[in-house]
Amino acid sequence: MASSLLPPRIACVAIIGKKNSPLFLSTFTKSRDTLFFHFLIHTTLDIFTLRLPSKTNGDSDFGLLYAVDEELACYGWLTNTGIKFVVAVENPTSSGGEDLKPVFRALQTAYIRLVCNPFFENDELGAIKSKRFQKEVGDIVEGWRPGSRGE
Amino acid sequence: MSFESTTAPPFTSADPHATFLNSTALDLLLIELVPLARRLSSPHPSSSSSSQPLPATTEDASDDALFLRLEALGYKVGQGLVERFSRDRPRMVETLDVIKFVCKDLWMICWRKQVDNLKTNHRGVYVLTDNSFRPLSKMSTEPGGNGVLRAQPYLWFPCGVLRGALANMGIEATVHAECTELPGAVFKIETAQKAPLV
Repeated sequence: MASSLLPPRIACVAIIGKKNSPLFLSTFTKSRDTLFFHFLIHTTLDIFTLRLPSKTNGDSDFGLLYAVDEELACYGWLTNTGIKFVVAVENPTSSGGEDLKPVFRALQTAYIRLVCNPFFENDELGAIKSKRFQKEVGDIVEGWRPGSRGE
Repeated sequence: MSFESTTAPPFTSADPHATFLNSTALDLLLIELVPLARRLSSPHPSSSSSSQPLPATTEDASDDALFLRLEALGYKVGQGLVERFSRDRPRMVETLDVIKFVCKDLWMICWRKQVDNLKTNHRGVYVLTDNSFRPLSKMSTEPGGNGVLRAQPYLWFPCGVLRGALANMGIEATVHAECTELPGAVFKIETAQKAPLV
């Protein structure tokens, strides 16, 4: 299969608010349209809800949430304030999302910087429009190399 | 490759990425914030310079406006603080976990000490007693100077900080503060039901 030879790549980054409102979604692939990812991210919410009671080790990493055949896998991260980060990876490896941890940490750092901006309207209703945040997410996605653990 | 531009607490001065802020800055800001908010929320800015005392009703109304203004400012600050400082912490499942985080960590961040006493009736009411609350610690008046009453507005911004912090952790609450004797402060947190995290 040709797809297994391609390196893993981040296809989509999404942020979902406390009340499950979509705050941010950005795609980094041409192979599928954005609406597909909206649906895909939406379905991961059930898995967050399902796993939360049994998740006792107390960290933010939800690991692999969902895999669509062999081409796409969704990984999740939940902050203490109820913000959910979801990253979809094309051509995933079997690492179980361990190497995505630095990506999630960086996304959370970028998000914290965004909400600590005094001009940011933290109303949970509107989508995030900040250009700087968009660029930071783009840089994080570009900078990700599978297998690295964010030294 | 290093994504970590901010470090997790506890901070050490050896860490080149850690940024520090002199806690006196918050003290000084709060000292100026209350009179500024009072001037802004005063309904008749021109009459404040005249010697005519305002009727009691307008004074109450302007006190309410002052409370709302300071509380709203604190609310936003509390939300931001929690977003920043709750990362890399174990998940807080129970309301009590969140209250403990507030008493220990948030208090330490804002006011350089921990709460002296925490009481609860196990029905959603928490009473936090701080025997030497930092914003009040420098205040003194002559006997009969109504110090307790005049210190009250300085507790409204911290009230907002607490409410914002709790709200961002999924707990809707009302927070009241009172000062019975300088420099002590008592915060009463009444929680509604805990909203689910997901």
